[in-house]
Amino acid sequence: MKMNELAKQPPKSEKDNSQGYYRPHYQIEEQEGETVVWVELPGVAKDDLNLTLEKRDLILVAGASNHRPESWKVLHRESADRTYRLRLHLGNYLDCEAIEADMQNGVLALTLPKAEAVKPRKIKIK
Amino acid sequence: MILCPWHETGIKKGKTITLTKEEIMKLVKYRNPLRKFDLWSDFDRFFDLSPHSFSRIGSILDWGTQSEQPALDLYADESNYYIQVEIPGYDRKEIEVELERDRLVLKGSRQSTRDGVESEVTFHRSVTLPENVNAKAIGARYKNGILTVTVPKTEAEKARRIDVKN
Repeated sequence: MKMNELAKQPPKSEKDNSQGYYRPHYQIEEQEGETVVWVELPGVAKDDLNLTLEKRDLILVAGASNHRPESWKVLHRESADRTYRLRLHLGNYLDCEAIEADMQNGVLALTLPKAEAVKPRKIKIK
Repeated sequence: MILCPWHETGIKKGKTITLTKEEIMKLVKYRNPLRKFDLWSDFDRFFDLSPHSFSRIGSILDWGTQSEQPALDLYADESNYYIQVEIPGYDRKEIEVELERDRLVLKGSRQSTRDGVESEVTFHRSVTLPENVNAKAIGARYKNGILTVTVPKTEAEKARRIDVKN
């Protein structure tokens, strides 16, 4: 349920309808104290990644900087030059202030800690 | 990819059959002769990219693992050929680049956790190299989820290219 809430896309604004954006593959993993989102961004270097938070919407824009020298002649091509864009609506149960992002081997790991209020709490029995 | 018409395969229609590897290859390797001068198929023949569908047959049979078919690009400049494969999420040590005679095999395997279940994810692509390469000097590099294999051309091939002027 919560996963759906997180992945739910807000109504598309006109800007989102512009052509040329590619929605990357992503995977959500619920862990005890946090939610981790893995986003596949092949060819994207750390510097080409742009993450912004608009209220509770996390917006990712990344250009694949798989820059090849101009001297490379294409013989056969299956990949495409892409600008990745992903918009994730963060549920109230997540702490938007404490998002961590880590980029490794073309995969972005977004760690979203759960808000203190929803974390399971042990209650001491007197 | 174009499948061979039934009547040309010698396989009888409507019967349950078990195809041998050769028969499958016969099916998937067929190309429409009308597309003979198509640029793409020419390169395909030149480098003989392994057919996607064939590996997919393999992945159906192999239940335990999830097989990926990453996008593969071929480039060239004056000195080298370049092969690029998009394989995000692998560690350098999980990738293997092997040369089997003239066939360059790119493969790898990694562990993936999905919904708490561990599974193995693999990829496999191969390319037959042209003759004019220095196979001993092949180099590979993995960065930002992209594997780039550099295959140097032979000195003779480099020298063969002569600019034609007016």
